[in-house]
Amino acid sequence: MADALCGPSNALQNFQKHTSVDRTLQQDRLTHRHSPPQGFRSSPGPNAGILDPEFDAFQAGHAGPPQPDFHHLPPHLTQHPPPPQFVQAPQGPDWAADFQRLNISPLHPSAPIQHSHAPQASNAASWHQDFMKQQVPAAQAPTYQQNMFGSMSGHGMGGFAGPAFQQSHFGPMDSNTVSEVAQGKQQAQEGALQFDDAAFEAAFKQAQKDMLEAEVSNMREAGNAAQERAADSVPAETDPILLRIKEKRPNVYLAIKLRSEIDLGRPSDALPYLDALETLERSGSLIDDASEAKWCVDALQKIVNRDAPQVIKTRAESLITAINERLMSAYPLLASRVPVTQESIWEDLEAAGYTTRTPLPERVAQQPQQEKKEEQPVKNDDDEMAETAGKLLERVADNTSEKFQKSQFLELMRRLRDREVRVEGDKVVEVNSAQPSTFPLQPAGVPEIDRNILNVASQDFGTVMDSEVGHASDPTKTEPRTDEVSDQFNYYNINSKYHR
Amino acid sequence: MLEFRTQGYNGYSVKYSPFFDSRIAVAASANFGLVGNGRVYILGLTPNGIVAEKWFDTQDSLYDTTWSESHENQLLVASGDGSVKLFDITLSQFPIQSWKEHAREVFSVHWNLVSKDTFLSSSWDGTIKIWNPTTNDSLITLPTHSCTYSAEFSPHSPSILSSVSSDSHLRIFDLRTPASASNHLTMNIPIHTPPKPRMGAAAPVGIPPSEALTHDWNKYRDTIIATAGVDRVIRTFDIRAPAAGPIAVLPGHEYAVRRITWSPHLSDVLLSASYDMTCRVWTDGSAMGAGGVKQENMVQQDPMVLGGGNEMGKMVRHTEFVTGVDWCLFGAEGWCASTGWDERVLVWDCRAIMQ
Repeated sequence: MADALCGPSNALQNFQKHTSVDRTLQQDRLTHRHSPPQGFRSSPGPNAGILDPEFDAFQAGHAGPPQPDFHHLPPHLTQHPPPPQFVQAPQGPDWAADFQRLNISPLHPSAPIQHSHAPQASNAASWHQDFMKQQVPAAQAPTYQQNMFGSMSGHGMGGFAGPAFQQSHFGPMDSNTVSEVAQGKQQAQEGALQFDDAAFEAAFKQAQKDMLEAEVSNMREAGNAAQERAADSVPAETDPILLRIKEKRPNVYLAIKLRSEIDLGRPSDALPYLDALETLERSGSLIDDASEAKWCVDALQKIVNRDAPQVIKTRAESLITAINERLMSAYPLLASRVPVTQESIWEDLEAAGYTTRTPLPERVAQQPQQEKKEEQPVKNDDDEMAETAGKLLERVADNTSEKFQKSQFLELMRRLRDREVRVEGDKVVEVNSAQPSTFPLQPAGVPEIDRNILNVASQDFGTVMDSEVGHASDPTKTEPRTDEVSDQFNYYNINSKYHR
Repeated sequence: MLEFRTQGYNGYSVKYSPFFDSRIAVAASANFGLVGNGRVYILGLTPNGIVAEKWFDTQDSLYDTTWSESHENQLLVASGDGSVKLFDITLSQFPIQSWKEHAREVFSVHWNLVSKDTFLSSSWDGTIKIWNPTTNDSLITLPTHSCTYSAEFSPHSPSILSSVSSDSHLRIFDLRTPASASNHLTMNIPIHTPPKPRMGAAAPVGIPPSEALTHDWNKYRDTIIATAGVDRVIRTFDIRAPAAGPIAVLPGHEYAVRRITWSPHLSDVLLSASYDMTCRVWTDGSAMGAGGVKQENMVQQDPMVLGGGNEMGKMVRHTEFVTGVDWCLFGAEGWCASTGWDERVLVWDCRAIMQ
């Protein structure tokens, strides 16, 4: 009982509940709404989709009296006054046909109603089979007819459910048969026509595609040539990291260089990169990758917002417009999903050892996986602890007071979340040393690396480049300029593979 | 302001001795009570500051303590392993009695203030148990069906007790009623009920239920109980009108309120300790003259405030969550002690922080 109520599998979990209002009750109500009662149609079955339109038609067509008073039919009620039965009798076949058309009964191989759907499924090939099947009830029709009109009043529900069920189209049987056969033929012809059309379409499309491909490859070549030209026009790169980026993503490289030159206050050095970008834009190869183009636009926007020389500003502005125009026309709205994923660029940058930002959501997703691999046996408790600690920290994340920043408890939560410490038995131990330590855990000799330093530095740059995060392109907000020069050293991620 | 450091242990509860004005008990736990040992300190207030006269270590975290009302050297502790232990400070090391019936962490213990022969404990296992220190088993078990963070005997009656729990309800048990299907439960007041609409004020909006962490009986008005918890608001209820909702609402704390206690000297003054690392002194507006002016002007600062109460002062010296606070029963009114996760016990005069 209490486990369900209080239910912390660790002590922290319960404490965490204190930090905010519990909304589980409201959420409960919401989730319950998502389970609609499954009514009589317990399993959709093969008829599921078919049934609905038929039922609609049934309702629309026979809004009047499709109900032949079921309770008149049971045998023990046949002593009732006959007039209603006589009135109803002629309607019987009609109703029965409708009833059968509803497909409520499991699909019966000999039930002719199947054939109204069969032509759609197996187009022309089976129309003659349809015709064959159609003949069977037609031949038997007379007996049923007699059965119907002769002993209708004596028939109970059982009669309807049994053989009478087969009596599909009593009254209009003949005409119906004919028309269906005719339809079958017609459909066969249509099928043949469609085939021709399709072949033509396909051939036409192929031809068009070939032409387009040729055109595109031409453009590619031109673009590559332009890229090479553009790359040639800029000064040679000496930094091995940037060199790698240059090879892989020339556009991104140009944008980065452009921005850093302007940040360093050397607009004259920045001009070649701007020239190169403009060349690439004109050749159209800048927007080969929409993500890269977006990146360039963001970087340029930043330059415009900064106090760069007026010449560069205007050029950057016009370049932005040009890129955007080209982007929008190359990737029309709704026509195709624009593949703007800057994450891959960041990944590439990081792989190259050049990083300006740690993509936080990714890190959150990746970290548990890595941890799981490392320490399987004690995983569960630690994971929960870390998760709970993380949630708790989120709750107080907006509190900027000095006390909360310095709080040892919150620091412990941080370390729990980041897996620097974990709970083992009744001790809090460091993950690496596995030495029991009483909190506060004092750094032994070497001062600890503050892992937040990189975050802070990268956030500064991250907001600059990543305008998707929001308000980064807000021109009213001027960024702190104190670290303008040291900014370039923030690019280096000392944790990256390159430095190991 | 006097200070004592409970090195290595984070305070959870502090209680003044009802027999000596210079003795304080502090229940504390290692590692913020997450895992590890517990320790109960017996502190003496001396001219040279606070000294630890004695301490007892326990295997599991300690969450609450209370002094025996019948024996000046004995005190109870509530332990994380589900046990309640009785220590005698004249003995050296071990508890003189340990009762283990609760299935989960015991979160509060309280001695009967009138008959003085029983005490109670409440636990996360969803029960309140009543004990006699001379017997080995509990006398009565009262189910609450939710984590019961706080339970207390009424200071006015030997057979009435109350509890608040994570289901946001204040329960009143009367042990004189027959032990029928209701298990002595006589009243079950939803704490989150909004106050009744008033003239000249917008109708109060509904508030979602939230865990109630603490409550206390008023020492002078025998039907008034104050509650507080996760929703950061202190409320007072009159158990004569349980359906009327709170009669006073005191917002102000920025995080959950962990402990509240009424003054033993003044009928309208409350002291609270909170996860926002502050202790605050409040008046609930029931005293003559208090809070009346503002209502006449019809300009209340905060529309949440009800009953004319207000915050009178704030003590911000703690640097971690404050978890325990208690008034000194002796001497000049206003002296109190507080403890928190910053491993400190502070003894201070709350008149100094009032505006």
